[in-house]
Amino acid sequence: MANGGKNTVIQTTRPAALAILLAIPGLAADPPPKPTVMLEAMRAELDRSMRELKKQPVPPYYLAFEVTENASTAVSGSFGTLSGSSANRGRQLDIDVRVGDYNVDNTHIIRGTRDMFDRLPQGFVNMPVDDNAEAIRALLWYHTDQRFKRAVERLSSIKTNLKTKTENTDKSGDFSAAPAITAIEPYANVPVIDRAAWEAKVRKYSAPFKRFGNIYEATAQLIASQETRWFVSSDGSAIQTVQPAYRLIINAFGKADDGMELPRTETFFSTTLAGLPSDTTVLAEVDKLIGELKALKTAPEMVPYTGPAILSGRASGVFFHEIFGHRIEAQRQKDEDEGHTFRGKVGEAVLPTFLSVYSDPTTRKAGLVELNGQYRFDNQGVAARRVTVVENGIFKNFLMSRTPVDGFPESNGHGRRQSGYAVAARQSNLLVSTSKATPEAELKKMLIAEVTKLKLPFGLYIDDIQGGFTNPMRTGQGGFTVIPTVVYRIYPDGREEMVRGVNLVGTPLTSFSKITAAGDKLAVFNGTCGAESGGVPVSAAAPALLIGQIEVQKKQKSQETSPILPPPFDDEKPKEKKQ
Amino acid sequence: MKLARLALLGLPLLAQDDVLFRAMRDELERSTRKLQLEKLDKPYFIAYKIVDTDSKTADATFGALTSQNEFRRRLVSVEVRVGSYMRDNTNFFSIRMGPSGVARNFAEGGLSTPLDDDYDEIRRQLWIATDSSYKQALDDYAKKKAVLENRNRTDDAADMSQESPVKSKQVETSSVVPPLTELAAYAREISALFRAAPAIDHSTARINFTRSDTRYVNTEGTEYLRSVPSISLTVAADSQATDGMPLADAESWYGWTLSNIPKDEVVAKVKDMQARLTKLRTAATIERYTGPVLFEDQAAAELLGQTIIPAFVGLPRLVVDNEQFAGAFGADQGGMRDKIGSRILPSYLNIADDATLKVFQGKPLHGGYTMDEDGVPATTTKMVERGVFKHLLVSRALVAGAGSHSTGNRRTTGTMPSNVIVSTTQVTPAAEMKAKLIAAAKERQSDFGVIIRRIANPTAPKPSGAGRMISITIGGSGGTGMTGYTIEPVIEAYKVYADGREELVRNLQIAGMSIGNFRDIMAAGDKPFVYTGAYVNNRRNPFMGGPMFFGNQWISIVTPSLLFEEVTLQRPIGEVPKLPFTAHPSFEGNK
Repeated sequence: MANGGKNTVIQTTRPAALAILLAIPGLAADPPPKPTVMLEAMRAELDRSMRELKKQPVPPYYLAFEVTENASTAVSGSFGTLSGSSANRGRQLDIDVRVGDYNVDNTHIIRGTRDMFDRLPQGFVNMPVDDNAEAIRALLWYHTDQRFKRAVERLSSIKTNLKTKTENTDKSGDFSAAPAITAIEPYANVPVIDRAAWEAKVRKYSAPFKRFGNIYEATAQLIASQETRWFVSSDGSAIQTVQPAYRLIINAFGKADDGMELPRTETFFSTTLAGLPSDTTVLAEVDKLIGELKALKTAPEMVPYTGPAILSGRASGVFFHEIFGHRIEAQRQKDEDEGHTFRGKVGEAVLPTFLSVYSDPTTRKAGLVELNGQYRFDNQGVAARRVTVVENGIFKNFLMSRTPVDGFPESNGHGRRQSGYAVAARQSNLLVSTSKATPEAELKKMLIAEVTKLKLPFGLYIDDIQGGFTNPMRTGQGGFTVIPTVVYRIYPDGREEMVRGVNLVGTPLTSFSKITAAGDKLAVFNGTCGAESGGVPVSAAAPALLIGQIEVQKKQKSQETSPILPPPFDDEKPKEKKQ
Repeated sequence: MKLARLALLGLPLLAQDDVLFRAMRDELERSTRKLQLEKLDKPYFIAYKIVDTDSKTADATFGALTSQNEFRRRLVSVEVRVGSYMRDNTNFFSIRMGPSGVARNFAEGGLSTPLDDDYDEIRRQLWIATDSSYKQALDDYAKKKAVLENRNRTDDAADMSQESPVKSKQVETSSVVPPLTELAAYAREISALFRAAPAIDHSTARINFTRSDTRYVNTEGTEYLRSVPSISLTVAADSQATDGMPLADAESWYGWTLSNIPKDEVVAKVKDMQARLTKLRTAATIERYTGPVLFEDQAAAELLGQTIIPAFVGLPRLVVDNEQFAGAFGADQGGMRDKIGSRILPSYLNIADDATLKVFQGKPLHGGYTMDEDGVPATTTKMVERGVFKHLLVSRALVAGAGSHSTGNRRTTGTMPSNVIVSTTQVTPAAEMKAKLIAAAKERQSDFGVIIRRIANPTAPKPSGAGRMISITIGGSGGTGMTGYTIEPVIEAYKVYADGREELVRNLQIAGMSIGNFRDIMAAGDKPFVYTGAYVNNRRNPFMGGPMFFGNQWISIVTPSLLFEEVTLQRPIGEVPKLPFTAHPSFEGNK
């Protein structure tokens, strides 16, 4: 796609913006979007900086500015009362200044010195929310100067270090070229939310939890946000994108009588206000959460178990995100301290032949559900694209930022960050698909057959996973733990029984090789993933999976018992009668 | 400015129909009556505090707004004590893993709780917080007893003082709660002044309005309601001297309403600051100087605020269950307790802390209050009388040998001063102070003496980025000043020659000053300077249980100018950052 410095112009019309404009009488057509004051000021200061800094003995070979505006309205309720209500709008600056060359620059990882300072957040710089070009440029100048000085110093210490350390096994450079892109979406004003109506909603959604004394935390949070990003680089790119997001998050936390913590979460995501669920849908979900928490309170505690299990589609999605997804983020192949699960595995089978995995930020929906990991350009000005990670079981590609690794010299549009952090290759929408779909009822039968064959008392159905942690580092043996929150035992007679206190453990490649069948329905998990480059929105969509053998351990119990006294509202009134 | 103050004691003045107070009293009553884990100790003291905060902040630079925020929050905090007033679960340090119990959303300073005045929900939150605090208290108390059984301890101060119950109310009503847009416009306008200051590389203006309502009840019968508005504006700027050395300055204003911060005064002072920084860019430096130094006005107040004033705070010695941490957390023997009875200043100087004052000679003071965080009424404490150190400032956590009652100095971030008044019975007019300085310099065969007129406040915004700082190491631990104070950089100082001529110098640090230097103060001026600044509580006992608040409190300091016999000053040591490689985009070809 590189075309000799000529700009690739991408025409854009966003359906949402178009709809709004057409609704205004007298506006016949979508006017061509204009660059904002912000983008113009960024471009002017970038050009001036490059021109002036080129005169320095160690000049920059690349400079990029990114400003991220976050405008949000958030309201939250707790047990039927309002616990928070706020509206914020802020803009943050990220600067990428590089001295040296594509091969060795100031971002080079020095072997054996985990350079802590360059992995930490780069610092948060608030930019004007007023469209004031002079103030914007003054801040760009001030911070570019500081970053440039630091880059020059760091390159000098890298060069000294390279002479004394043994060479890295990965011979790739520090940065890759990318085509210039000009893409300007119309700037949209912050969506106006009826705060009072939303406040009423979160009170309503969190109220039903109130009746249960062992539910200690119950919140409903509605968030409307709009992320506007401006990106300019010395490659000649100029990008302005607008991404709205609406979220509803229901959180509840209870305890079993023995003190075991029982967390439950449900989230809804849409790119439009209308896409949020109706009150009826939400309240039904709240009832379901309450039912689960009540059942979990008295559910038997799980004992260690090794045997077959079904992961629901949503659980599979989280499982793949945690166990698979983080290991395909390319920079892990470069760092000598990381365990390289998929290094040298290109062209080899890593999953059963009926499974393929894609990372696709350009997909907006899986079935009817909108995906949270969508974007058009990554944080390094590279166009988003669908990456085939695994095709029919064979490993094909890593997720790439503009940091190359051996055999993968170019970015595939997955360089992402939360503002304030350094970019890394991160997941977007992780899509697990199967060429051999088995109806879910059939999966259960297969599970029971396997249980019977192995003469086990039961198999497991893992309905939901809270999250997990995986240690891809070498020192951590590469193992993983995921924490299921809703688990059922499936007995040979088909009976289901809820259990609690389960941790799912294992090693990735072994676990993947034991997947024996996949379901016929996709389920979506939308969330925010936190890693070295901060929190980024992601999703994972997967079918249910039957795994021939999994291992579960007992979950560590919280030291803290339930409260000594009953809740105030259960204590005072019927007290006399009871005694 | 319309300020009304009510302080009626012993009356049922705390509205009976106030939902929050009702929920607090009812849950306090239930907990007192019923809370007990198996056969273990019941609590002997419980206190509830609910703080409602309404805050609005606007930040601007170079005429543009960079952020505007407003939030409301309500924090519940609970203090549960088991044991006895003499020996309980507090003043103990042990490594612990997060909060106990099921209370999970502990924000800074307490449990974040809904904003609606919902009786049931407030009680539910208090129930959970009380349960967690009680379990933690039992655990700490058992561990602390185990440690004490194995050690000889001579420290006989009670863990908590006994105070008479008080019902009190402090409601400062200000007629105007400024809308955020008005604050934003103010910040924008002030920050735009820097568009006419080519010598300044970077500047910020931040304005904040906060109103907080505190409700407190305890099992001794003390209750209070405090409702206080506050507003502050801070303007900060930085640049580099022509040799690259970093220069920074900041100015703050404090008040209750926006009208307390008159714009014309702010504009004038910001312009002064710009002129000062512009002159400093080309000012001279001094390698090293040891000799007489006259601290005038703001510099005298900041010097005291960063040196002996924090040392007047008495904190109890902590019992530490882990030898590794004993050195770090158990070493504070109660501030300057051992100096009680010693002469630390010349006999003509007195220092008192007075939280009851609101004005001094017509100028407002901002460190006062009616009752402290524990509900103890504000008092006057004479720390230094005729140069002799007499009293520490303490909360209800007593320090051995320093009295048996709180001095009413527990504020949100810990035990700290309120309004500190330095007075002198022997005044020296300004001209005479300067003459004395010149004479003292001459006696040391120095060509010049030094006047310091401005010292940075520890909370002032620092220039961002590594390229704007010189790394330096001067002085020892902040603490009690026995080993040397760490003092912020001097912003404005002058060499004073024999003929009275003054020459501006920049980039000075005060090195190796300790408590001993204050005995050798040679003279005190005739004009008390009234100063308010943010106070960094660097002597707060960490992790000692109970709520911890972060953030700064204001204290006011009233002091005359002070002439010291011997102070060592030096320029910062370390690598000097380079000047900017390109010119400021608005001032190209101008600087």
